[in-house]
Amino acid sequence: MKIHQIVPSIYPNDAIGNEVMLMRDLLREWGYESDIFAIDIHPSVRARPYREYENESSPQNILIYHFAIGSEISQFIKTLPDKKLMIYHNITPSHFFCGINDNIMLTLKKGREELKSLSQEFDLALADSEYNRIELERAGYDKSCVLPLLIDFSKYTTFNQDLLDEFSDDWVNIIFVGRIVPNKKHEDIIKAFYYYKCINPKSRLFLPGGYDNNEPYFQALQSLVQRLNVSDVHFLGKVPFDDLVSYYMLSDVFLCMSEHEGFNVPIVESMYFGIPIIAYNSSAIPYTLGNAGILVNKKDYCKLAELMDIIASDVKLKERLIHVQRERFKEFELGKTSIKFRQIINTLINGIDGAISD
Amino acid sequence: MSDTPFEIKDDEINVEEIMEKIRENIRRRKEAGVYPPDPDSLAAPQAPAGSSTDIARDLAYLSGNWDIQNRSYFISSHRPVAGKVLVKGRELVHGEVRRYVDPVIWKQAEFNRATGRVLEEVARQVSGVESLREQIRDEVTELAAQLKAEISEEVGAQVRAEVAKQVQSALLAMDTDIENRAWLAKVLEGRVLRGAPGEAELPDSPSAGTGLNYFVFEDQFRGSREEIKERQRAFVRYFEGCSNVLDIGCGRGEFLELMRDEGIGARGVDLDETMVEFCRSRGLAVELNDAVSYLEQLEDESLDGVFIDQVVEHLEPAYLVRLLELCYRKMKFGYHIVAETVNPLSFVSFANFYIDMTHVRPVHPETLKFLLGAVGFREIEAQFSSPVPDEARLRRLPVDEGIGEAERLHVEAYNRNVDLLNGTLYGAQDYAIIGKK
Repeated sequence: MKIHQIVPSIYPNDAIGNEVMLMRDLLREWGYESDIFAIDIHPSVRARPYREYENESSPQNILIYHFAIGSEISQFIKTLPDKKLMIYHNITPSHFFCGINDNIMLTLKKGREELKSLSQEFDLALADSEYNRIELERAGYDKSCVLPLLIDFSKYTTFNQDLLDEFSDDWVNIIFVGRIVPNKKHEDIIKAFYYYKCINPKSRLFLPGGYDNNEPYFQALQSLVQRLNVSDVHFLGKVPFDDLVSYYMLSDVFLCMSEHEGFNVPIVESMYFGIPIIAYNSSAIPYTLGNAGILVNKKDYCKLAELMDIIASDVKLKERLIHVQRERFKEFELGKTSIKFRQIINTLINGIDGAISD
Repeated sequence: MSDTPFEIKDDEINVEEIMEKIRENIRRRKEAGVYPPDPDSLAAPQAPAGSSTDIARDLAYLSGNWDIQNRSYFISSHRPVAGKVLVKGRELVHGEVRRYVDPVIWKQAEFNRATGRVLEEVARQVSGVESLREQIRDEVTELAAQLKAEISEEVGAQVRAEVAKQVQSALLAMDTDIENRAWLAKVLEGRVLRGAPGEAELPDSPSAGTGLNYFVFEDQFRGSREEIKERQRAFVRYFEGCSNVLDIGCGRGEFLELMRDEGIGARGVDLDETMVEFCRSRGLAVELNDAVSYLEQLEDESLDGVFIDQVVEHLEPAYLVRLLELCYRKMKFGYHIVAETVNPLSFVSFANFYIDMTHVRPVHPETLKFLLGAVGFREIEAQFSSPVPDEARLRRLPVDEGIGEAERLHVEAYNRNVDLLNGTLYGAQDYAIIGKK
């Protein structure tokens, strides 16, 4: 049996790309024939142009469509007779990109329209968070359930020793991981750090994340840093995986001010690396966080700075936060999520009316 | 969303306790002035969306949005039967439209891309120029300050040096003047106290009995020592290589100084006590004596030069002859005697002769020549000096090219007369007779 995946673009070290490749490996492991089809394919990834899928298409196949942005694939799959499974990773509301990138705005808008138009096309729709599932339900999808994003933490063992040597000191390192895009609200992180730097001058802010196609936003952030005259803010750009692991290993607090997330992998990664999480209460964040970490209801930079100071200095509190996060992390371990994924596949094969257990 | 700023869903953690600690810390730090100013007061609200006059941001927007081509358009239909026809039809229309629209869109996109790049480059260069300008301005300011300091220092030093030089020379002149006067006063005073010295031994100096101080008189009428030295320089050549020249009536010692400057050994003799003391004060070898008495004491053929300047006109004929005879006797063979005096052939100097009351009589050049020859000197020659300046002489008429013959003869005759009159009236004021033993 063939279970293939189709996705607009596939890149390594990208939340969706990683999951697509992980799913392919799992499916193959489980004995299915499985390939990836995409429009935009990174040279390092083994995938096929999506049009080739016309030749593979069959009512006996299961086709998994990873949906996060508008593309011609949405129209393409409508014509296919396969059993279809959507995995919805959420679409960032287009207004965040107004004045930043018109093309992104357009494709995000189209994505929302496509999401509605596709509601009757799938045998089952999966969401990687409850927040996303609710959106699916509102968009008219009758059959939906949550499958947390599949992450293979066995790969998080390589690191860059040079970075560890460079930054291993008595300084407090604050981190946020994410592309430099307007919905992630890096400016709020910088403002909170601006206060924290006055409380504890021996502190750094690590901001790994690429800013392609979002130069105006990046520019604004840089000029903000300049105007606030706050030092030790590290815009690291898109970093290799080893470096990312090293920055996690070096960090003391994970601060997320994002106002739109469909899942947010870095929160789970912070749980894995034992970094206390402070995150703004928006979109999928509270669902991913569960009962772990600290949710922020109001962006008061001064209070956030004080909170970071207390966490960094109160060992007992820090340990307790990490402990609860580790408990929560178990929900995202591949052992558990892959079982659920397999159940879903089985259900789809055997008939959708069967129950899907959590 | 809860009202509390932070939520921790863990019964073991007391959020209220943490909040209390945060509030306490904030209060404490506010008092201590730890917090920086509100970030939103320092920076415009950082909403990335919306209009902005920030050029850098607009440029960044251009770089991300130049491509206006829409590649996401995809024609399809989910209708099972009619769908295929519909798709074909729409593709046909779409293709026709794109045939016209695509080149325009493509051109526009390319234009946008080029414009964006050019603007980016211009902005980059402008910012480069800006920073260069800042740098140059700083450098120029620094250099200007440095230059200003240097100039004021240098000019100041120059002015100070010049002033110091002028003051020094003025002081020196004053010192010399004061010294001369003090010295003169001292000499005169000493003489008054002692009574007239050497009356028994020495004949009278030319000014004796006149009540005149010949030093003061010469200072006023003879001319400055520098002028006299300059005039006497013409005779130095007769004494080159000599070592025992005698200056008879050496006065203020101008010629002896000249000799010293040239490395020629010379000494002087004078009858005027003030003059002798003045010369001695300047380190010159001068003796207070009558010339004849002095010469008589010397060994024969011991002198290798004799200089007698403005002396013969003060002497009686017998004394003069005796003096010249002695000179001849005391000089070595082959050396020169130079005797300079007032030229009586020129009316001006003849008239001026009587300014000096100690002058006895003028001596005619031919007379002096004769006297030198009579005592034995040979190769006798006369040398006239101290011409009257042109502006004080009668003027000749210029001989123009265009004048007639008669007129030319008149002018020539006139000029010849002028020359004769000039020679008689305004001839050389002094002359010297030079002889060789």
